[in-house]
Amino acid sequence: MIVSLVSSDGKLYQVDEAVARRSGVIYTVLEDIGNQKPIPLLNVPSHVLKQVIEYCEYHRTDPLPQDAEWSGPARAELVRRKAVVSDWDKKFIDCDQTLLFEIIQAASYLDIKPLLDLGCKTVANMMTGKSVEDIRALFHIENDFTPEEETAMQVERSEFESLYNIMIKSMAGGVNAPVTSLPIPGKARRRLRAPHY
Amino acid sequence: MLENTSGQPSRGSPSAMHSPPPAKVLGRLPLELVINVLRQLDAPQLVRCCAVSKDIKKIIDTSLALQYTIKLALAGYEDGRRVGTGRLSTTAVRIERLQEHIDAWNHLNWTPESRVIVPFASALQLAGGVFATFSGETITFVELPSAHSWHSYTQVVVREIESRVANVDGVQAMLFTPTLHVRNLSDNMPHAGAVEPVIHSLDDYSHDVEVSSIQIMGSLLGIVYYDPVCAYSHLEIWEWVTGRLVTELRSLSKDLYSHGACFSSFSFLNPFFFMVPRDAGVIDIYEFSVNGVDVPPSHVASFHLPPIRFGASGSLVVIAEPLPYDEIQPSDDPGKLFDVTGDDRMVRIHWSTWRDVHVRQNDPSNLNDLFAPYSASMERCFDIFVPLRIFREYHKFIPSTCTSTTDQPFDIPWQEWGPKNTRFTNSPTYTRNCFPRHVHGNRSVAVVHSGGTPHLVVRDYSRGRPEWMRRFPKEIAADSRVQLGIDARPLETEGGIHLESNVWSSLPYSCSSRPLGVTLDGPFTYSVLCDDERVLFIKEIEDRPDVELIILTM
Repeated sequence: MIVSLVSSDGKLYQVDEAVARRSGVIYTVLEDIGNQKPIPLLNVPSHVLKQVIEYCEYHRTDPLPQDAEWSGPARAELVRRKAVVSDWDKKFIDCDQTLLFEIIQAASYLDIKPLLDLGCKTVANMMTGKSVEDIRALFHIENDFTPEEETAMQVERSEFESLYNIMIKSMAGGVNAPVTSLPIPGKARRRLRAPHY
Repeated sequence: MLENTSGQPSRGSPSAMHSPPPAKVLGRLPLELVINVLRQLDAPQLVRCCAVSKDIKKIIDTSLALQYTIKLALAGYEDGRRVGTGRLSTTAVRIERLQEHIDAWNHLNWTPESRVIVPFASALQLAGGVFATFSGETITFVELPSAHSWHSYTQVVVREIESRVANVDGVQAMLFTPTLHVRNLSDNMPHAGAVEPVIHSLDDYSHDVEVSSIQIMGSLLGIVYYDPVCAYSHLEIWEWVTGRLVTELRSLSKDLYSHGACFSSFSFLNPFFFMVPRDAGVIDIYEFSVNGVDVPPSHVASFHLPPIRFGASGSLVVIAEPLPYDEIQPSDDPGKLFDVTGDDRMVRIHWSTWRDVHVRQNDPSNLNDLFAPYSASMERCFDIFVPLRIFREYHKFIPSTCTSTTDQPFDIPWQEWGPKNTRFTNSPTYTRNCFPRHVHGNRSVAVVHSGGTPHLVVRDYSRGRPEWMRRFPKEIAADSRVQLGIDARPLETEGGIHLESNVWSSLPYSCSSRPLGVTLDGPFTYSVLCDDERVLFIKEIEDRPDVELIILTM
């Protein structure tokens, strides 16, 4: 079964039904109306839709949240894998910021939870371990605080961070970074893997 | 559609040309998506993001979910499971409950006590709202009153199972006994999910072995026993769901420390590591699972206690509670709404030391005293309160200059880890060799006599606690009877004849105390225990083999 999707700039894409059903919105449309005519996706331009379809193609066999078996072992499996982003996903999401944000918006609009999570996690990873100035520079955000407000917040922040000193250090590399990277050579290093659950 | 079937992600050129005006990109995401991104961050990172721009600060300040994350971190808690779409799954309810919970522990303004009488026992335990005593072949359970009833047990149950030590997991509503029958608390039937009997090895001995400690962590169960004939301690870790022996550890007399190699307790640190306190005054950290694969325990580090004086000896016990590890909970059981994080959990290490001394009685009329000095054993006990993260993060204490490539474990002397990260205190000696677990989560409770009246003192060791009190100052002194403050002063504990020198320790904690209020009159000895939402006093009754439980509930 082939489903036709139309992007906001009028391009027609034809995909397998199994692929299209990754999207909660299209799933509902297919359930309610059936596969009769092309489905217009008014908020998704073609260059984003192309990426989203590629993601869905690759993940076409993953369990769907709408399926009944979701609650059983499939869910446990997904929860377990949630912490680990696969290499393919990492490569897929490694794109420029504009496209990344567009993919996140499309994933949200089309209701594709894993892709939305992947996108948000990637943005969060970009922010993790960065200073305030770095975050501003990264996302081109203007500083709209007065100097007084800034000083006050700085004090608050440094106190909080000193408490969680250990936590910040270990998170510095982001979710996918090795848990420990200590300057200890050889065998000693091997034994220090994953000390922290 | 099949423009690209190579399996490799493609980078379309349109996106590159599609460059937007570079202003507030994060702000350009719709509000709910910005929240989605921020939800992936941890609490310190969120606080940092508040300073990025007013828009983001506003989002963080007004989002319940993000405030919940920050509050949880400040309280040293982590979110529990969310099951289905019930009322308890909403963040609004959870944040309210968390606030209630913290307020209750701050104000200690708890409802009048209820009293229950149970048979006296040498071992007792309070876990997840279930109080249990173990004595001979009788185990007695009492389900305690609760403000929010999350569990439903029967009222008072008496069991007849052969047991000296057992362990109750109140959250999973299960009982583990030395013969390793896993049983439901509610009906004393074998647990449906468990393979039973799990362990046969105890049956292999023709003589009795002494089981001294059982601990549960999710589907794992550890048991320590001592074999008096072969004179070694033995730790076995089992998976009680499948009946598989995961790993075992023995102290043989040819062990590295032939003296003091024995152990009588242990504690899991997480699904990869456990700790074993040796009587020689060393806490050994073992790794038993590498990347999810079980391996024979490999000794990775040793935490040393303050050096003991020549001639003295000691015995070391770690008193730890079941560690929650939610992988195996039934999927429809919400468990707790929130719980203390593993890192912030406190363990209490009980160290009893003794030394033979010769005492002259300085009585000139007693000629015997001149020739045969009276010999006595002087015992002294210490309690060491340590957050579990210190042991979990043992690698932080290894100097970066360390270039060891051998299989030798890393030795961490007391000065490296102890003074900053522990509270080293004198401990009352328990006459009946009974160690009530008066530490729960990140709190400990005690009764302290000050100014002639007994006070209930609650110490909270979580890291975020000072910050919480600074941010929400109205909590302090809400009730004039309660005194609340942070104590970060270093404490000196006299070493005396047992330790080589005096010991300093300075782990900060917050302390709230109030006059006891309950009547503990009459000749008695009592202990105090706590769990999430109650404090429990154990009072002996004159001329009866029973004890009375006096329960304060939040």
